[in-house]
Amino acid sequence: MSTRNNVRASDAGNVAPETLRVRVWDLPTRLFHWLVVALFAVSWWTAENDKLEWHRRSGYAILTLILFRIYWGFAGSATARFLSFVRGPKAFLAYAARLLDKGAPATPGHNPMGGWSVLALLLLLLIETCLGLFAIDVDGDEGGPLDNLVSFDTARTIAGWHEAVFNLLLVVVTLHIAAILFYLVYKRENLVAAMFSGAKPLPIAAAPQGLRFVSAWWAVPGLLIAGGIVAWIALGRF
Amino acid sequence: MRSRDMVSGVVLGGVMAISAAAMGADPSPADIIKARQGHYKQMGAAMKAIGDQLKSGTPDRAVVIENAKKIAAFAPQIPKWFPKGTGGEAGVKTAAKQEIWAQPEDFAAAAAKLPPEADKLVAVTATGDAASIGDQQKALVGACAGCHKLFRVKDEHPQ
Repeated sequence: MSTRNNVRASDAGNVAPETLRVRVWDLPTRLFHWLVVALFAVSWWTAENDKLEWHRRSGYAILTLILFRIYWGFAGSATARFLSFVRGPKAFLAYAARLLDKGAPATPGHNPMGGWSVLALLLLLLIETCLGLFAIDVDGDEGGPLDNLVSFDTARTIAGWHEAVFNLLLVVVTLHIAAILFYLVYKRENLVAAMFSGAKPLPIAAAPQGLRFVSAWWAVPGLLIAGGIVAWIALGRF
Repeated sequence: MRSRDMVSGVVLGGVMAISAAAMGADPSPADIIKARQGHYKQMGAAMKAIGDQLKSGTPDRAVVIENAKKIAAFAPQIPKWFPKGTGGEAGVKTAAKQEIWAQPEDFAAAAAKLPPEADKLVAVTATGDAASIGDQQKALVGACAGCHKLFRVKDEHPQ
């Protein structure tokens, strides 16, 4: 694993002179994020339009990504690791207390409140995709790859949960977007741009020295393991 | 006068009670809807049982035939499950669209496509290979969907 210090001087004119553009998100984390966004839309659309074949595929892709992200939460760069961004109630409350304070320094990675929203989204997506594996449609025709392991009534109940958890996901996603807009409008922090470029302008005082980054190649074994598990679920005859 | 009113009131009440009891012998729209949903659930379970077999790659013909026969038995009854007054106006959650009663000929035509496909699945399962059983199951699904697309409210069907 390579450790790189990615603090660069800010482009003059783009950001205030006392800030630095700091690399905060590694490539696998960013790709994961935007692929999940795209696949979330695909899953939603295919479910609403009875494209269940593609809904299943999209679900497999999301499950693969979530399993990968769990791996990356241990093996990834500093800002991707659960141990770094899942903070205790003390940090959470301290951050919450200064939420409206425009002078509060920006966090390089997930802030102590946002970390919990990330965890909630990951957990809900994991639950959602796993429920989908056992769900079946009302006609008893289109279902998940493991629906044969449960009765029709059970698979229908699970399909009900699949829908309920999706609605819950919509709530959390809305909160997530609302928070991003709050940061953009109120705090003048563009988190979306940072999730694209990987870099965030941070005040020099708040800029971390030497955030640990691991090579993106370390994502490959995680992706292979995650894809293998999902392929085994999807193609295996249970 | 007063007592006569009372007598007639009692008589009238009695007549009403008797007629209500007589009406009670007929299933209410809500009962009809519930029974109909029960039948569809059994058909759904039969579809799943067939699907489970096809998924295994080595379908158990007896199980497929048994469930295809269940669907074949229900299929011709479908138009009878929708007497007038058993739509949303019955006050029970139902996915039955008003088009069922507004376009009865179209509904009957769509429903009539199901029985032959269900019968065919019974026949194909007895003789055909897994692939042809699968193809006929898809044709059956198509017959279900053909009617559902036109006459069932999407996403409103109860669990």
